[in-house]
Formats: sequence, C-alpha cells, structure tokens
Amino acid sequence: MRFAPYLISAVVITTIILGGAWWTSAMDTKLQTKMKEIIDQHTSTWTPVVSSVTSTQTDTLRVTISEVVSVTATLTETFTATPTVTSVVHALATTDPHPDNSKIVILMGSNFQNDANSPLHPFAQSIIKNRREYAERHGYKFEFLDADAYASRVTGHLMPWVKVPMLQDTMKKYPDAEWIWWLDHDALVMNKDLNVVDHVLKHDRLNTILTREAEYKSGAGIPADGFRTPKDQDAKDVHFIISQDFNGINAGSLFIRNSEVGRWIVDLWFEPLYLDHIQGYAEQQAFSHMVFYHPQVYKHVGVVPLKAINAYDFDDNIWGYDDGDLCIHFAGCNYFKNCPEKFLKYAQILSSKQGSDWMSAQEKDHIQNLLKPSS
Amino acid sequence: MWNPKKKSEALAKFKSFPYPKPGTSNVLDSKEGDTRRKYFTKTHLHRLFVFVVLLLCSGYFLKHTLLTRPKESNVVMIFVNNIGGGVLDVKSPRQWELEKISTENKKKYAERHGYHFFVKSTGLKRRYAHEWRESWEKADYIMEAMKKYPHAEWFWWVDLTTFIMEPQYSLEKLIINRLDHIATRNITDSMEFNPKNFHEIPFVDYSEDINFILGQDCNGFSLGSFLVRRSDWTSRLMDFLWDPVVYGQKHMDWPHDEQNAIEYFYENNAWLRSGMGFVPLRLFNSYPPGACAGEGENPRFFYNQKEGDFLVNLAGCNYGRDCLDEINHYKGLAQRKRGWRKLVPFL
Repeated sequence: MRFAPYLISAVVITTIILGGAWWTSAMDTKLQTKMKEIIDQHTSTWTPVVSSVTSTQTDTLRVTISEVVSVTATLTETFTATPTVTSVVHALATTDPHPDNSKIVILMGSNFQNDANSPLHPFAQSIIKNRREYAERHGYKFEFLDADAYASRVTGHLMPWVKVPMLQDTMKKYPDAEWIWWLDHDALVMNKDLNVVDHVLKHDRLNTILTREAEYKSGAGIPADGFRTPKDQDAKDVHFIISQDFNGINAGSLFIRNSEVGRWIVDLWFEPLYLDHIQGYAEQQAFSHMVFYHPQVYKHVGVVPLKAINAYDFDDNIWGYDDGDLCIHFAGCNYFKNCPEKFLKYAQILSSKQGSDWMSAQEKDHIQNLLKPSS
Repeated sequence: MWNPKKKSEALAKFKSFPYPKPGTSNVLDSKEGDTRRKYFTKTHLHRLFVFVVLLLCSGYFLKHTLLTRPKESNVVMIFVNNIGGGVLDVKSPRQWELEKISTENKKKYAERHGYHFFVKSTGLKRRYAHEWRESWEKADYIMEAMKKYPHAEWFWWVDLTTFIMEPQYSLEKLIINRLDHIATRNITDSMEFNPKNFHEIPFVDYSEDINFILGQDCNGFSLGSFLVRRSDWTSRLMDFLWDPVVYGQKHMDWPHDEQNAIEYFYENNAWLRSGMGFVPLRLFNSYPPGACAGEGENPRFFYNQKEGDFLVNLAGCNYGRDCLDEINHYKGLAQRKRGWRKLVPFL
C-alpha cells in the first residue's frame, strides 16, 4: 500500500502521545498518593509540613521512587520528585514558662501626683517610690505614666479608661517583656522580698493558684450567676491574670502577657462603643463583659485568689491583708472617702517592717507627723 | 577487479549513457532489496529519538488538563443555598432554577480541583424579636466548616448569586500561591484604593500572616467572595463579630451585616488590620453592569470577558434586577468557547 508508511507513523505517534500522557499522570497520581500518606501520618494543623519529613519518611520516599523506577524501567532510567510545600498555618508563639525578672514590667498610671484634690495626693511620691524601689530590687522594669497625658484619649468618658491605652503603649515600648503588671495607684507593695515571678508568674506556680471551675461573681459586666472559670485551664494558655471580689472582677491589680493574644485583648478592650455605652465601672466592666461574651477571651483569662495579687483592707481571712502578702489595695476608698486613713494604716505597718526610708524625702516628715500618736 | 557481467548490467540500467553516472558507483556492488536500509540510517533514528522525547514532554505538560485531578485539597468551598427557606414567601420556580444553576456550577468546579464542597441551607431563624438574621450566619458556617474539615487550611465563601466563568483556574494558582505579589496590606496608603477612607492607626503589624482575603467595591468591603485561613486570628474574628454591646448600638445602621461589622472594627482594631489582605475585586469577585451604579465602565469593578475574569458576582441583583436572567446570560457566555479553545474542546 502506498499510504502504509503514513498510517503506521500516525498510529505510532498517537500511541506515544496518549501513552506519554497516561504514563506521566499515572506516575504523578501515584506519587501524590504516597506523599499524602506520608504527610498525613505526621501532620497536624500546627506542625510545619517540612519538619515532618524526617529521615524515616525520606527512606520511605526513596523506596517509593525505587518502586516507580522498577515498574517503569523500560520507559525511563531516572525520575525525580520535588514535593510542593504549602504555606503553614500560623501558630501562636510559645509562652515563657519561667520568665526572667528583666522581662517583667510594673506599670503604674495616675494623675494623683498632679491633682491636689486627689485624696492620696499628699502621699503620691511615696507610693511611687515604694513601687519603683520594689521593681529595682528585683530587676523588673518600672513604668509610670501620667494620666493627664492620656486624658484626651478618653475625653467625655470615665477616667479609669486610660488604663487601656497605657497598657497598649507599654506593650509597644517593651516588646521583649513577657508580662506587664498593672497595679492601681491606691495600693502599696507590702512585701519587698516577694518575687512576683516565683509568687505568681512562673507556670508551675500559676498552675497551682489558678482557680478552675470557680464561679465568676455576677456584678458589673457579668450578668448571670453560674458562669464559671475554665475547667481545664493551663498556665501556658493564660495571657491575662486577674482576681475577683464579691462584686466580680477587680481590675486594680492585673497581669497581662505581652503576646499576640494579650495585644488582641487590649485592642478589643478599647472599643469606642465600650467607652460610650459601658458606664459604672468603666474598663473593669468592659473587661468582664468581654470575658462573658467572648470565648476567645474567656479561655485566656486566669483568675487567681484576691489575696495573691490584690489583698484588701478587710478583717476576714479570705480577702483581707495578712502579713506576708504581696500588696494591699485600698479598693473603694474613693467611694468611702477613707483613702488617707487606709494609706496611713498600712504606712504604719510598712514602716514598722522596713523603717521609714521607703517614704519620699519631701513627704517623710509630713507622713511621720500624721503617724505620730497625738500626745 | 573488473567484472564484465556487472558492467553489462550497469550499462543496461543507464542506456543513454556510455559510462556510469557520477555518485552512483556503489550500485555496482549493491544487492537485491537494498533500498530498505535507508529507513534505518543514523539520521532517521536520531530524528525519531528527538521526536519521541518531545512527545513525552508534551504528554507531561498536558497531563494536568488531560487527566489529573487532585485527590485531596486543603481548600473548602462554603456554599449557601435555600436562602430564606421559603419562610416568608413561597419560593418561585425561578428561585429554584437560580439555585440549581449556581449549585451545579460550584459543584463542578469543586470536583475538578478536588476541593471540599460544604453546602448549607439557610432557612430563616429568629434570634431577636425584631429581626431575622440569616445573613449573619457566615461566621457560624465558617466555624462549622472548620470543625468538619480539621485539616483544611483555606475556606472560600462564595455567594449563591455568583457564577464561575473560568473553572480551569484553581484558587492556589489564582490567589493562594501568589499572595505575596497580589495582596495589599495597608490600604491607608494614598496610592491604594480606599473607598471608605480608612485612616492609619498605631500598632498595626503588616508582617503578620494574611488570614483574610477580600476585595473592595465602590462601597467598601465586598464579601460575596472571600477567603479565610484557619488560625487563631480567625477564631477571634468570628468570636467578637457579634459583640452584643457593639451590635446593640449598630445593627439598625448596618444594612450589610458582616460586611459593615468588619468595616466598623477595621476602623479601630490594629490586630484586625494586621491579618487582612486586599486583592483587586475582579480577581475573584467581578461585578456585572448594574452593580455599583454610577461607576460607568470602571475597569476596577466590572466583569471583562476578554481578560477572562474568574468569577462574576451578581451583587444586588435581588434589588431591581433579575438574578435568573443575569446568571443565564453569564452561563451562556461561559459555555461559548473563546479563541484557540474553540479548537481544543477538552481544555
């Protein structure tokens, strides 16, 4: 036949095209299946794919290639495969289980040093000195922020809201800090020897003092009884440490971790509509609201006993200050108008423990005169 | 050496010549049937070898479109149908037809690329006394899909009133694998498209992972088609999106629900900005004429067949336009092959 050569060529060409396509796709599919099996054995959502390709998997892959090569020995002598790694799901950075003291920032913010009408104004410098010396003794960083400088950011709202942008700025200023401890200005550090890392922050200790499955007190921000702290909470998941009294969460003393979660909580906390529509206890109520309504906040907030970080001037043993406690907080003294009395009471205790050098020089005489019994 | 017989034979072949023709001297020594050898010369074998190699290469390059379909994928398509569920009105045949066309289009695309296809029926549910909130379920359905497909990384929300015009594009090639090149992080820059006039705020970290990919239309964010990555960031977004303090104050002002909520929080939340990436609207969310009224022929928004836009979103077609007619129109466009694809029907 005159056209026989053309017919033979056409058949051969077509066969090679189809065979080539089938061959490459079959091999590709087989290899993908093998890779999928290997990866599935060891991949979890938070593990980078690259790190799951250990020597064992490499050997398996080599065997796989060998299989493929032997099966197709008549078609090719070599074959290489380069697995494509997709991007990794972002995982939260690991929290530090035992931070160094230099990674702790003690933050204090107030305007009582400027405002002569503030009930603690006569003692402002001594309170600041008490806080600073405690930080210096243990190697923490100390940050004092003037609330008047932040007033414009909360214009038209209650002044306690300034706490939130102060925390935000402090996180920005100390990016390497692990924890920031906020303690209100109406408070005194009473035990200068107590290292707050050993006392609260290291994960071993925090795990022992976290209150789990305890009831949140209903009050400002939490509307219902029966709402409980997380049952299986671990210190490494805690990014916010707080305590509560009979009226619910008290934000006078709190620890916030300078982490992605901590920065998120602070960001959300300063929601403009919270400032507009959460009255009463201002930032404290907003925080309680967030804990109650947002599971993502709830699971990262740890509640510790009040005395651990926030002892009150009470006579009972549950909340009241005992010798050896970290600090004393004159909670509510503005309302009951007894701030100076409470301060002097604990200044007396502090002086009897440490002598009078903890006071500021310019205030020492005044305070000591007030402490003297009238004769 | 001279052979009188051979000479006679040679001379017999070349009757008109008294001597052998130049170049044919080898004929004197040839044998019967020697002409077959020319097909197996070195030159021919070399050409055949090259030809075979090229064919194998062509087979390799063609395999993706010819035969290969991935078995597993880390992309989930979230598709919501039965909107309203006939609670307030009896669904008309046109509504059923629209759903059928759209569902079929998405299902074929998911099968072609091996994506998981997560379909939800969104009948109306009453959660507040004064409103029905089916449009707010996007967050719920995304979280539900994340639980159902724990190994998937990307979740693509695609509205009912959309049509995929170019199903040969995979999301990986179109968006995910070139995210660094096409995504805009900081839209407050004066050169960027910023229809809501967002201002710069402190504490934003644009080096963080992109967890949310969307486009912007003439009114702001457009959530007819968007991609969400599984991450803690996404869990937080879904968590606070319905904060009761904010929602209580704003729900009467927010006609577009999640879209307006995310725009609102974008205003003040640095962490939210850190996780969002914006792509050109037409990348996976082209608009038909009629959406974005007043924009004329703005090439930023409207579907362009010549450039092969991936997906057309009939945004707003329920308000004064006809969804079924529009989707049939685009279905017809999609079925009409263009250019060289007319000649190769299986591509």
